[in-house]
Parts: sequence; structure tokens; C-alpha cells
Amino acid sequence: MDVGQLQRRFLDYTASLFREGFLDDQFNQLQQLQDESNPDFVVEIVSLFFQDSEKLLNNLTRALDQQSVDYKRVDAHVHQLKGSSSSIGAYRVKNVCIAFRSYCEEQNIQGCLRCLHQVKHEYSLVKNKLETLLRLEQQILAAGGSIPLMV
Amino acid sequence: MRARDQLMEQNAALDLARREAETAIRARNDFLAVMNHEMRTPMHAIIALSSLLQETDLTPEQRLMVETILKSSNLLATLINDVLDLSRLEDGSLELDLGTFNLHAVFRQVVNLIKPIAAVKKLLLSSSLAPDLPEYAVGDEKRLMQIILNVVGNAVKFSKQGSISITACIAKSESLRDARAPDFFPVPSDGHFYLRVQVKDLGSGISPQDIPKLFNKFAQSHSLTNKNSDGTGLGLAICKRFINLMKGHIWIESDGLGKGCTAIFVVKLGVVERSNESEHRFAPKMLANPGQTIFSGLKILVMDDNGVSRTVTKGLLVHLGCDVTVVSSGEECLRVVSQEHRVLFMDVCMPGTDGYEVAIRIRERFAKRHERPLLVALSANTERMTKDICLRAGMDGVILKPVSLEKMRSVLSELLERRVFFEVQ
Repeated sequence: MDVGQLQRRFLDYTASLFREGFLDDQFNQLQQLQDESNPDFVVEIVSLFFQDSEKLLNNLTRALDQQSVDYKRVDAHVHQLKGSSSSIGAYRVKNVCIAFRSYCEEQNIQGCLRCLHQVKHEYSLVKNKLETLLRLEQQILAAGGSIPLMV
Repeated sequence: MRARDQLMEQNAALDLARREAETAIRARNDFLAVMNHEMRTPMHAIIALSSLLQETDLTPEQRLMVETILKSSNLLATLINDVLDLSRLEDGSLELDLGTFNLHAVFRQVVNLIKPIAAVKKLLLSSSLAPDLPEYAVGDEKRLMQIILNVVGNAVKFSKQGSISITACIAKSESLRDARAPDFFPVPSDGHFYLRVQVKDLGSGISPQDIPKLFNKFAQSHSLTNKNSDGTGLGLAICKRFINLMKGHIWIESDGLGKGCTAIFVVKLGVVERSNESEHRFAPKMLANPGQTIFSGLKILVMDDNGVSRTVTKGLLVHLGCDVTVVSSGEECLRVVSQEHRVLFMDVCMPGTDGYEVAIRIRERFAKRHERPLLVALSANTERMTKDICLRAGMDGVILKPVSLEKMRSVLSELLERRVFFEVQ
């Protein structure tokens, strides 16, 4: 494929991610921060997000598995996850976190477990999509092209 | 002889009376100055701690109580301020605080502050500045803003629907004279201009015979079904006195009840001499190239305990050319913060780590305002209460997360120019 086609495929894919709500405008903002002086910004921040989230999801699983659940602790983890996903533009993950926090406030174990399941699902979906997106970016760069920005 | 003795006696008595009166006024001013501080200190403590209490876990019943405490103490604080202001205005001991300031920014600030309240009442708020209105002027910025806020606030308070329009222009000499105020003689001069501000609303209006009484102390409108007009009734009285100090004039027009109201005031401001403009260290509007970063090397400290969020904020600021240091906790922040940092962005969503506490400590540590970094809260919480709490903790600004590149750019510009930035939804 030539650069033009790769770029078009990239744009179409990005557009679909926005349309389906996986990503929101915040992700656009991050892409704008990538420049010659910071060429790997998006990759770095996405990797940071993956590391952070995986740790949080593990902590959440453990915290909700306890005999007597410490909801404050659970809420603290969800709060962090909400912050990261919001900062990176992972829209669906963020929304599940919002619901998750209400269940924590109500100390509703069923609700929390459901949300945990859901957030893990959304996380793995967005992780997949972001990895694909970044791969497409690499392909464009390898072919000598530049990453088009969505406006 | 006796007549002359009598006159001399009378003169002596009058002189004594005058000196006693002056002593009494001095004593009153001293009393007020002390009371000012004595009353405000516990007031601030009540407000600050009630605000912090609100942020803790409360039962609904407790929450209601705390809200009432806050509302009452805010009202009390306003009352104290108003009464003290007014008494200083009455005896002529209040002086204007003159300085060069950005006139356009004052109107922007007013709109930003009033917008949320207007939005709740579904009122359209618009502001229009005449093209020849100078951007910078010499005058008492804080009091001018107080006047505009008061007038616009009234327009919002007494409107149930419709729109409120604020227009500002240079008063032309014909419009300076008002038939209703034959003793207002504006004297145009070199180096000064008259600012004319008009605030028009479509609210409940005022019947013409009530208009003159509006500027009296403690005048409240009783003709409204709106019973919860919370206010001291001193606002317009104080405005009028400030406006008089500014050699200006204020008047109100209304076609009657239900027909809206137009408040117009004119004040005298100084023109900024060309040579003064070089004194403005940060004047972003003068830069021809919008892409140029004027923030090069600006030292900024970012406090956020969330790794991703911290990196994004840092990325935004670095992209704008700033020199950024990041910390992940309150303790680290207090260790690292110095006079060199111009701005501290602190995330206040962190439960457990109290961003407000950090703000209070920093304000204690750096006594003079220009020596400490500007304190800006980053919050994901859109409630108005958050902004109030930030204000009480002594923050210079609040921004809502997530922050876009454009928003960060304009926030930094405003901060450096005006030293405050409060974003409202």
C-alpha cells in the first residue's frame, strides 16, 4: 500500500473509533502534542495508560474479592482509572468508571462486580483499538509519510 | 462688648464641637478598622471550614445543615463588607486604588462570573464593547468590576426570562449630560475619557416613582413575588458612591413594572500613555504571530497523583514552551515549590491528598502575592461549589478537566495578564 492509502485507512479507522465512542476529543488533543521535539508522545502516553490501568484493574479485582470489601479503597482505584481514561480520551472506559463510582457509594457489591466486568471488557476493547491505531501510524511513518491529524 | 464676648464664646464652643466631632470620627474609623479585621478573621474561618466540611462524608441531614451554615455565613460576610465599605465611603476616608488595568478583560471577567447564574435561569447574556474603547485604562479596577458586577447581578436577579445585554463605549459629550441629574458636570480633559456602560434587561422593571429611592441604603424591592432576593440592599448605594468617587454618574430607566430596566453609568478613567505600555511585561495581544509561544521558559509546577493525567498536563505545557516540573503528592509539592515557579497547577480531585491544604500552606509560606506562584486548581468536578471552595482556599484559578491545548494556551495568557482565571461552565 502506498502512503496515501495508509493515511486514508488510518483516518477511516480513527473516525470509526470516535463514532463508536471508544475515543473522544481528548485523544485528538494528545495527537496535537506530538511534534518534532516530542515525536513519541502518543505512544508513550498510551503505554503509560496501559500499565496504569492493568495495575488498577488487578487491584480492583483483589479489593472486590475480599470477605469484607473496603469500598473506599475500591472507589479510590476507580477514581484513578476514571482520571487516566479521561486524560487519554478513552470515553467508554471513563463512562463505566462513573457508574462504578455510584455503586461504590451505595456499597452495592453486585453493581460493583458488574461494573468491574464491564470496565475490563471496555478496557480490553480500547486497548485493542489503540494498538491497531498505533500500528497503522508506524506503517505510515515507515513508508515515509506523516500522520494526518483529525480536525 | 457683651455681643462680642458672646460671639467669641460661640466660636470657641463651635470649635470645640468640631474637634470633638473629628475625634469621634477618628475613633469610629479606628474602631471600624479593628472590627474589620476582628470580624473578618472568624468569618473566613467559618466559611473555609464549612466548605471543607462539605467535602467530607455527610448524611443528607448534615449536608443540609452545612449548606445553610455556608449560605448564612456568606451573607454575613457580604453584609460586613458592605457596611464597612459604606461607612468608609460616607466619611470620605475611602480612596480609589488607581492603577493601569485591562479594561476589556474586566468585562470578560464579569461575563465569566455571571454566566453560570444566568444559564441556570436560562437568560441570554451578551456583552459588546465599542471598537474604539481602549484596551487599557487607569482607574480602580477592583471597584469598577464591583460596580459592573452589582449592576449586572441586579439585572439577572430581577429577570425571570429574556436577555441581558451589556454595552460599553466611550461617552460622547452629548450623552454625558443627563437631564435627570442637573448637578452632574462631566469635565472632559486630556488624558481622561468617560466610560459609558449600559446594562439592559427584560425583567420585572421598576415603577418610575421608585427609581430615585433605589440608591438609598437598604432599599429593597417589595413589589416582587420573588421573595428570596438575598441581598443587603446596600449594593446600589455603594455603587453610587464609588461612581461618585470616579467623578461619574449612574441612573436607571424603566418603562414600568414588567417592562424591563436599563441601568446606565458613566465613570471617568485615565488614558494609558503610550510609554506606559512597555511596562506591561506580558501583553500577548501585541504579538503578531499567534503560533509563537510567549511562554518560553515559563517555570511551572504540576501536582497530580495520577500518572497519565500528570503526563498529559506536562505534555500540554511543554508543547506551549514551558519549563515543567511534576510532583505526585502534596508533600513533594511543598518541598519543591519555590518563588521561581510562576504557576502551580494542582489536581484537586485527589481524595486523601488535600490540594486545598497545599494552597493554604503555600499562601502562608509566601507572604507577598507577587512572590508566590499562581495557584490554579485542575478539577473534574463541574459543581459551582468547587469554584467557591477553591476561592476560599486562596486559589487564583480553577480549570475544568480535561484541558485542551487551546484552553491551556488561553488560560496561561489570562493568568499572566490578569493573575486570575476562573472557568465556568
